[in-house]
Amino acid sequence: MSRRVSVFEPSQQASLPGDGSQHLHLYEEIYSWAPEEDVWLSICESADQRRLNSLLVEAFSPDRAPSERGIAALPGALSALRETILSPGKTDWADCRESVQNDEDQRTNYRANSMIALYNHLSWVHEVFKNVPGASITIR
Amino acid sequence: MTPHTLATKTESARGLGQFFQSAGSKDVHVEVCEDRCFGESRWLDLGRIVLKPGSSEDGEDPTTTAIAFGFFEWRCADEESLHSEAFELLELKGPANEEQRAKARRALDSIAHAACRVGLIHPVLDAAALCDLPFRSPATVVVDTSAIVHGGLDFVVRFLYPMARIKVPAIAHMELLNSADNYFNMRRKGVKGGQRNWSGRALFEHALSQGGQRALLRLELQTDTEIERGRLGADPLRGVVEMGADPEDKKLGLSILQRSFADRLIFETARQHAAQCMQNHAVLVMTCDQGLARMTIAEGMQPLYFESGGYDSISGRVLTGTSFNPFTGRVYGVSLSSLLWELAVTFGMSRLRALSGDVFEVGAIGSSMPWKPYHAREDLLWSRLVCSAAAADVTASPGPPIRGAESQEPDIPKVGATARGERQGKAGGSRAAPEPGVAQPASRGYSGSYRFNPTRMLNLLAQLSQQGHLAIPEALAALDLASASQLDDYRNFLASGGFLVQRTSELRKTEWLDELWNAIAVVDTQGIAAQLLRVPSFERFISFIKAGTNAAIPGRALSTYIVLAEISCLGMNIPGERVFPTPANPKPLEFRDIALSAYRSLSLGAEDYVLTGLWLEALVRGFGIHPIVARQRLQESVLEDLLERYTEGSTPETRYRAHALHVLRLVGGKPVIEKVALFEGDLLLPGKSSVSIRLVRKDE
Repeated sequence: MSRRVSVFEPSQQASLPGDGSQHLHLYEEIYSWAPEEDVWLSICESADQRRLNSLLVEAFSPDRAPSERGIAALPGALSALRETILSPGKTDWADCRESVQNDEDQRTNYRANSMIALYNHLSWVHEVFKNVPGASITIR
Repeated sequence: MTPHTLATKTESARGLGQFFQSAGSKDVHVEVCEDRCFGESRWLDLGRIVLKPGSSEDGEDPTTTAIAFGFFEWRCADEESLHSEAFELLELKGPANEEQRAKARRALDSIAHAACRVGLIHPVLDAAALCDLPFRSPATVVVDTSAIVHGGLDFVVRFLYPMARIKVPAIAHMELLNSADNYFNMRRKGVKGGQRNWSGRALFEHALSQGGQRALLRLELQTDTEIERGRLGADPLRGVVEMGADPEDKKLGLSILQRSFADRLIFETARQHAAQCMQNHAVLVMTCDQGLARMTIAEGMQPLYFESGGYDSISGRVLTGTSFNPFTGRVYGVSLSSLLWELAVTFGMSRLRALSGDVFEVGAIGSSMPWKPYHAREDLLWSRLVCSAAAADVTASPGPPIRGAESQEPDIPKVGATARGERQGKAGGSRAAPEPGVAQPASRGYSGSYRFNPTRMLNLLAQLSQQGHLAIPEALAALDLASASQLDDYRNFLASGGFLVQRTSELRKTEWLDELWNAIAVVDTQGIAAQLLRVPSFERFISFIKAGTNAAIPGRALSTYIVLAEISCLGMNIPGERVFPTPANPKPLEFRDIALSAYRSLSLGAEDYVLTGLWLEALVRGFGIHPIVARQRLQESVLEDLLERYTEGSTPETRYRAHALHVLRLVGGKPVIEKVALFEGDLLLPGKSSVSIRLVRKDE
């Protein structure tokens, strides 16, 4: 199952109908990305899969308020992810759906450790957006 | 000592494959050497490379595939240990060498820059700039030297082209050239010894100049990127380079650039280009120089700013050869050879070293490594494989031992064969292959599908037809294969059609192989089709495509069967649709009506030209007529005054780039398989472009 990662920043503040004392904070999606592979396939143990799902998907669910899923919270999840990918035997390489044509006009399926690739990509996303005021992230 | 030989990245995959077969895929370290700064044969360890090959399916060599498509992990060395080891090699341990150590640290940042250039990591772009990417309308990116060296340029080419066009200002070339001059001056005059140790600076100039020039050469020679070249006279560049103020600089003949002037020239190039473009065409200056970015904003233009990551950005990390595209989420791969080539050019030499002592070396600069322009054009570097057991270089290696060659069994068991005993000379009737007393391969049951390179298969057929039999090493040489396991699919395909019989250590042809080769040698497509249909899997494939499905053949072998169907005029693949059967071969009169019917279904009127590719595909789809047959029948219809044909050449439509047909042709009397783009106007009329066609019935 693939996931979608979105980064938001505060867009504008709109007044709710009434006396104008209540405000609605709007957020604008500034980056969106979805891997075309099932990133969980690389995790060997289902317990790790559940733990990382909780750290990544539940912690950054769109149901949560933007303040709870700020980009500053991402390094904690990345740290757990890093620990998993550096532990021997916790993740492995697997065939991807994506294929490529080789010099002999044949198609070969890519192989990837999609957890490492996801970690590297999320680290890059964090590096890019970490200082954007009010930036938040959803993973769904 | 085994000498280095010139090899391309692709050719090196064979040597690398032998290295991993000998050394195993664990405990392999990647190292670099700068012969003058570190000293000859003194190597800096950059971490471990772990190859992750898949299982051996369809006869392909998983190790070679893993090397070619990036199935590897690079476990990068820690920054602290890397610096410590480098300072030791550079002899910069003392407190007096702090200035050179600073230069050396910057030089070692080039390891991360090389990783970025090959695509293992991405430049950390400005958040606001990333929000606007990928470009939705054409834009021009003007790169400064930092963008070239630190991987920004390669990022644009890899992920933002073709919407992004590239402009490389002349001053960027000049800055790299100046750096290269400085490096070679130091190299000639000695970087160590004498009053000062210059090894830090020399290493920095080496990595900057060679890494940057490689990025520019790659842009020019290995990508189809559209590069804007402005007309900038020499005058503005005259005063930008000056002799360094340091007396040692003068002594060594080192020049420096006036930074602010160089930045201004970069910006002026961008502004000049913007003035020539449409108003809505964005022109961005890509840089990781804050000063240039600020000036660009202050002058009313957009920067594409990114942070230059140092070695700390990859220290202790695991980088993988396959990663996700940062915009589409699709997987892309970076070959292990690409990484080794980039590191070799950046530092002079790179190598993989196994604990067993096996070594695979790649060199770009060295006392025994001359350089010529054709090396750059073909991306050739000096490589060699040194195995601890038996030294052998890449080109001279006799290849790995042949699996099963020592078997006492009279016949080599077929890989992937089942016991179904599926065929018995279906296309060939009851005619038996000659060679009495030899087990008939057809009786063994070949129900699988086979994946092989049809062009290599032609070489094997030619050799077998000529010599009658080939020893396994000869067959491998004919196929230019390194691994005996890769021979299985070629052998089994031919055996399943009764074209050869297998002995323990040789392949022996049958009479049917001669018939197949004779048909191929004169491009007799009907004869080729009749012979190929002896192969059960091919016959099954053709019957399935007649029923409207490709399902007879698994995806990984499908391309082989498509090529065979196309060269035998039995079918054609239309990308995005399916493989269509093409059994029809109408008479000229009948063809005239079909051709006009297909033309009218596409044209807006009698005067209208339609894309020739669309017309040919309409004949395939609606009438089962192969383009080669259509070409012959059209020619006959014109000669018999049944049809008039008008053609036009124009710029081919790039959206149909993938629509191509494999055809068998004779080149210098030798049959070769060529891929002809259907929409580029090369197929219909020899020597004349016919991208579009208009047909008129002659008696109208």
